[in-house]
Amino acid sequence: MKRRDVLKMSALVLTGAVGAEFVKALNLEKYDANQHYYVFVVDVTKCIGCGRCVKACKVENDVPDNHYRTWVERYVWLENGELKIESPKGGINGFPPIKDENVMKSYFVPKLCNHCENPPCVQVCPVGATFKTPDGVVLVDPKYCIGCRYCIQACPYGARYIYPEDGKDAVRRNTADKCTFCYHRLRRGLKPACVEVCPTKARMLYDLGNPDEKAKFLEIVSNNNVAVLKPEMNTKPKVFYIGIDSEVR
Amino acid sequence: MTMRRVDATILFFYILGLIVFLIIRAYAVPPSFGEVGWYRADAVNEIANKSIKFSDSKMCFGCHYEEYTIWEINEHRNVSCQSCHGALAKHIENPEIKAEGDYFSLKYYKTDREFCLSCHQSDVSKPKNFPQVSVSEHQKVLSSCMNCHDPHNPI
Repeated sequence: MKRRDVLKMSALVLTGAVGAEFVKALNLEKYDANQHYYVFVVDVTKCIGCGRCVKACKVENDVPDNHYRTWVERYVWLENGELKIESPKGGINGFPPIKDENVMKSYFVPKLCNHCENPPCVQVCPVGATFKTPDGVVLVDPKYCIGCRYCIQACPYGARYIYPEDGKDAVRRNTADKCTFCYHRLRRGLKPACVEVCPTKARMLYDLGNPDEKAKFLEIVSNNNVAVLKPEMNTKPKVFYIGIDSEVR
Repeated sequence: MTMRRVDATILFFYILGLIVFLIIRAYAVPPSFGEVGWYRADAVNEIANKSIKFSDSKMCFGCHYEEYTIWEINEHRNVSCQSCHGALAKHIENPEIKAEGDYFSLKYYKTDREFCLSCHQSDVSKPKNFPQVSVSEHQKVLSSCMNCHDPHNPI
């Protein structure tokens, strides 16, 4: 048997095995929300600001132009102590290189809904259209949302927007929209689209209901300085940042 | 006697009001509301049943095993297939269908060099250990990166 044939054979066998696993993962029926709990980790020391996450989110979730479920900001400290923060088009096309400035320090900060444990958006919703699921994800029910925008005002992180009238998804038009951690992907055992395409693994999602992933998450938390955005708001965010300064809010 | 009739009338209207309220409530409150919390429990499954557009790199192996076996042992192994090739969940079901969404196709970039530089353009904001190039220093003659580098085995 030639080397090529052996490779082909092993490819077929592996495809079968992987395929069977995948079909198993796609089974939505057996999902028990109480057995899962999702947390997100953003490592800004790895982010290169390429904007792949913003693009993937737009495609996966039909997010219209000029609206963002996730976006990337660039923080630049100049030598005179001045801080510049920018996010051209949410960083979807990356960032132009910095020229002719004395940069002391700079990095990219990807942002998304923090899926707070104490979500202020859920508390203010007058009709019960936004809620926290038992697996820790904050979702919006587009069929029940009346588009009153209270939740947009209540969110300290600016993670919500109103889905425009001409958006691709007819159900969501004129209702509040936000990051769902790609809930439809989580239920199929897949990672969120932004995590899938991130080339440097700066964005990671862990399911604390899975002992292996929980161990990995605890290892990261114990080996790094981890922060959340605006802890003083007592929202208890579930998006943890590695390597940010207190100016990142 | 009159007192009793008044009591009966009040009771009648009270029960009537209650019935009317319950009828309106049955229509106004959607099914499954309040089953889990103060929201429509069906909404969770409606969101969960949305179709996916990005798949998993493992699925690519089924057909593109030659590229896969090169990619998985080289420097770009942590970069998902779909980071460069786009959303391919539908392509797995039907190979005729190309990547969804314009953002990822090479056509979105003017040249393939621009595509590579969308990650590898040198920039002070990027982590120091991330491989970056300044085109003017790296290339004397501007040509395609792929003349020297294979994206599946870049070094």
